[in-house]
Amino acid sequence: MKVTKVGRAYPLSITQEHFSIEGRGLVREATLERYRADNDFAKKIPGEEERPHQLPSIYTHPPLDAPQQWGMTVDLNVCTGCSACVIACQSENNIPIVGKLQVAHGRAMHWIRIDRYYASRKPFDQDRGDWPEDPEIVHEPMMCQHCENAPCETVCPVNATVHSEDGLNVMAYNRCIGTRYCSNNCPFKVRRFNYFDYNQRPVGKKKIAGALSIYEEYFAPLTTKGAPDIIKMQKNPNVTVRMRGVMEKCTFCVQRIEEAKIAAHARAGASAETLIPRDSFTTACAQACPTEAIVFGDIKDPESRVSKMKKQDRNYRLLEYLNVNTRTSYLARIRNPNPKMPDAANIGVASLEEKVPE
Amino acid sequence: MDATPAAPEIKEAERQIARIPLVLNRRNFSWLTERISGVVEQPAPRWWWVAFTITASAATFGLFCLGYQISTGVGTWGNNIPVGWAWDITNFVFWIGIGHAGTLISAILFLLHQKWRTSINRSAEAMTLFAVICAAIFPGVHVGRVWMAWYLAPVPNNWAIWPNFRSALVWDVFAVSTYFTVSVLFWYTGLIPDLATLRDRATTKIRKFLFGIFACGWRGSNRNWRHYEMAYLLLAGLSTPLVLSVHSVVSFDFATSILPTWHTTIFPPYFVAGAIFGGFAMVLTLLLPARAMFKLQDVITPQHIDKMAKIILLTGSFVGYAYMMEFFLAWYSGNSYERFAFWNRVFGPYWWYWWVGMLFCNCLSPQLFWFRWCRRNVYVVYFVCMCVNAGMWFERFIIIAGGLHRDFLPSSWGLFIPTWVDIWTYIGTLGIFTSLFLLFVRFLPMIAMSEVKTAVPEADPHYATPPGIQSISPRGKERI
Amino acid sequence: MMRTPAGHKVYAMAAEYPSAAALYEAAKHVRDAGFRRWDVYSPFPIHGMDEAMGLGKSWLSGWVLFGGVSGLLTAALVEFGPSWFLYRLNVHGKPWNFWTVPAFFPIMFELTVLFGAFASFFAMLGMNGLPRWYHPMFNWERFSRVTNDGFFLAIEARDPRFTESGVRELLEKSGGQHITIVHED
Repeated sequence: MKVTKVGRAYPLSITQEHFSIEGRGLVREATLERYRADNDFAKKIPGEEERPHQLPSIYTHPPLDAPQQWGMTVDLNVCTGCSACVIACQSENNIPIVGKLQVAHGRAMHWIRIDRYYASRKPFDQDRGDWPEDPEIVHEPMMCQHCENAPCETVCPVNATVHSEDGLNVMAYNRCIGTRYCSNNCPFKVRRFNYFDYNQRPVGKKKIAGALSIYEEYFAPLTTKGAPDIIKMQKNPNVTVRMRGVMEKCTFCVQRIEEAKIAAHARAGASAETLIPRDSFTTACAQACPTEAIVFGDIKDPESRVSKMKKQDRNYRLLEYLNVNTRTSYLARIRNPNPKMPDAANIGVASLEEKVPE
Repeated sequence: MDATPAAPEIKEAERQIARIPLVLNRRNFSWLTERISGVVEQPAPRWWWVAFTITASAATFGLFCLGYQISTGVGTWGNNIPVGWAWDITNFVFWIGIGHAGTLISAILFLLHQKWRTSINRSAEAMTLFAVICAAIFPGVHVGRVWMAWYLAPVPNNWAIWPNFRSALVWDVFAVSTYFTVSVLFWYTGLIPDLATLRDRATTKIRKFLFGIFACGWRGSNRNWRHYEMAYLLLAGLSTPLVLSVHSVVSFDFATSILPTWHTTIFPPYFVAGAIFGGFAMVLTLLLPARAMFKLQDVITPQHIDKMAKIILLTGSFVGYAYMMEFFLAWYSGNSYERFAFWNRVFGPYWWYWWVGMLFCNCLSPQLFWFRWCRRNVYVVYFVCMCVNAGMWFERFIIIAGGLHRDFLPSSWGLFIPTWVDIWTYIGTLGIFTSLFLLFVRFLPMIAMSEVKTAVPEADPHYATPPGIQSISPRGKERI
Repeated sequence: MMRTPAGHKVYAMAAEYPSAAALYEAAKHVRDAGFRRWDVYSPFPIHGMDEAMGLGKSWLSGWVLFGGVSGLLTAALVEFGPSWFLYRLNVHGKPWNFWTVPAFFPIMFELTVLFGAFASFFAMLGMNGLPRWYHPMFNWERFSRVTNDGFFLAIEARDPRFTESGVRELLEKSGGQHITIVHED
């Protein structure tokens, strides 16, 4: 086999351009050795020291007083970055396919994404063209964190995104006018905007004549409206599709929560036992995860799986210094490299990384 | 000025401390009426038609771009995730900033008894209105579903949901629409006596009818002037906090968010100073050519240009100070996200926007106005004004897209690349703005005649014509 | 009602003055002669003319205060009504009761200014009896210069002290030129 340079470039569409985690303590990782020496290492990582001392609040938050409160954990130790959750979410929630060009423009619609960082002992500055040396790859599934103090909500001018009493950050698509302010103010950038009418109009490259081809989304008013039946049949009937100009994001599979609630109420009949049985259902991503890295459930119930996960010492939340109070938390990654292997020193280094220059 | 002969050195001292008249060459009331009304009454010069054709074409194509964007989707612009706002909101803040000089000149300088405002306030106010119109386009069309924008109005929709009054965008809707309305009222109030002038000079029936309607039957009665002056004073008093609040509220769009570089308490004064800075630059950009074209050098004098240049120097230095404080506060906060964001502003992908726009255009170029010969040389003044116009646009882009493109999670970092629709929509608003201004100078008096007359010495009821100076008959007419 | 020999109703007797200063002095004369229904006309407001005419402060400011207060109350009602009573929503964990008031200040301020400005504008028109299509002074040909460079004074026939000879004498004495009778119709 022979590899030759052809002298031509071919554009690829990727969803993440940046390599480094920039020392931000987003993925927290340690070797087994370090974990044994300090079980609470996940709470002492760069990025955490910005957290201010607990200050008294000048007001009381409105109560989140539903009998069941939803939350999630993602165990980074077992996440393999396989992206099954991404696809499960896409089919569960009728997430449109936007085509290669729009992905390249930064308009991918996935509600859950796998953040990928290259961690290396030696800091590198991608802007200056540096490449990581002997990098270790870490994955971090990222979806709406369902902040209890959600910054996206206060900025929405039309009250299209608000909080439910069971702790969900909910979207009223019909109310959304698409200012995109919520996305700007989301520290996790998990909100997705329908820049085109992906559900009603064709998307992607279409040959016109000879070498001339167009991307149909840019000629939307000239194309035929409506999705083909085969696409319609693929949709989940419990979830609406969103029109152009509307913001959308992870809902913690609110349709499954509501389905379970209705079933519980139906079962309860006249009795007061209306609670959904413990861990009786889960979200699409958690259901599809082959390693059960994602755990979803009632965080008010101390015996639920998610509550037990959150009690682990590896548990940490992202960007806690913003006081957004996320409902989703992550479990730090523990590596146990074989010291005899040549790359052993480069394993478990994601949290060691130097910060960017200041 | 004294009838008794004085020692030559006293005469020289008097000459030096005497105020330079605001209207040069002892032009009398009638000359002012003739010259200013003449612009409106005589046929449009050829250059006007050439300029209007160009600007109206740009405006038309800009409107086509808006139609395309509304019918096809916000995706026709370059916006993406993470850069949800880019040229759209940059243009909005740019235009709304320009729309500050007018009300500042008419209201704040009025309260401060700055009589030199009288020869520029009318056109500055008109410019304000047109800039606010251009500004209002962007928040209107940048939303994904323009036809649902009425959800922003303080009425419930069919499920009884009201707007979120905690959102800075709703504040913005109120602030901008209040500002526009009050500016229109203020402008129109100022126009009434001048419309009466045009009515009384009108030679055709249609002009007499239209100006008659809009002049509201004004007849210069002092019993009317009494209420009129009180209304004008109170409108100025209301507009003064208003003009300072509008850009503060616009800055809240950023300051009340949590993004590094946005989340900062310095923004309201910083934005207001920047708005006055950019607004005055735009006033001069429009008035320097208009003054030359319509031969109004005796009314818009070098003294006026000098004063505006000084305001540009002052506010430009505020802005430069604010830029410095941003860097200092980012460093002093010790917050690594803030520190990175400002490092990224200077050395990141948009580095040259900062070096050219913010540093050179906004901080350095106005420093030329420390020198008197720079303030007196219209070409230098024009160069600095163009630098400031560009620099203020760059500043807003750096704040908005620069703040968004790299925030908390490096996984979501991205870049913004404008499309042709972005570019032409912006050029289109430049066309709308200049077209409206050209129409304004053609159809309405571009200088407030009744106000500029009060700056003439003869307007003082205690004025006595000094001996030796030719008393100019009020009937004296000068052809243009 | 006075009528001219030709049968026109008399509105006033009016005179023109060569300068703002002359008009100012004339106004003082007329004021001191005790006339109530009279007015001066000028292309711009003359500083100190209110005192020269014996007019007090304009109470238009009262309307503006009323407008501003009603704007403030409207804003408070529109904001707290839905947030506190009609449709409570948990937004960003912020309170829905009185303590959310800092977020409501901007709109309260804006509506205060807006209503105040409307009051100012419409009170100005209302107190001046504007807009009007017609005014007797427009019947005088010379009066069209009032918006250019003319300074006029008119004493209305309705004034109890009005006598043709007395007013003419007063206007002449105060330096008035082109003294004339202005018709009502």
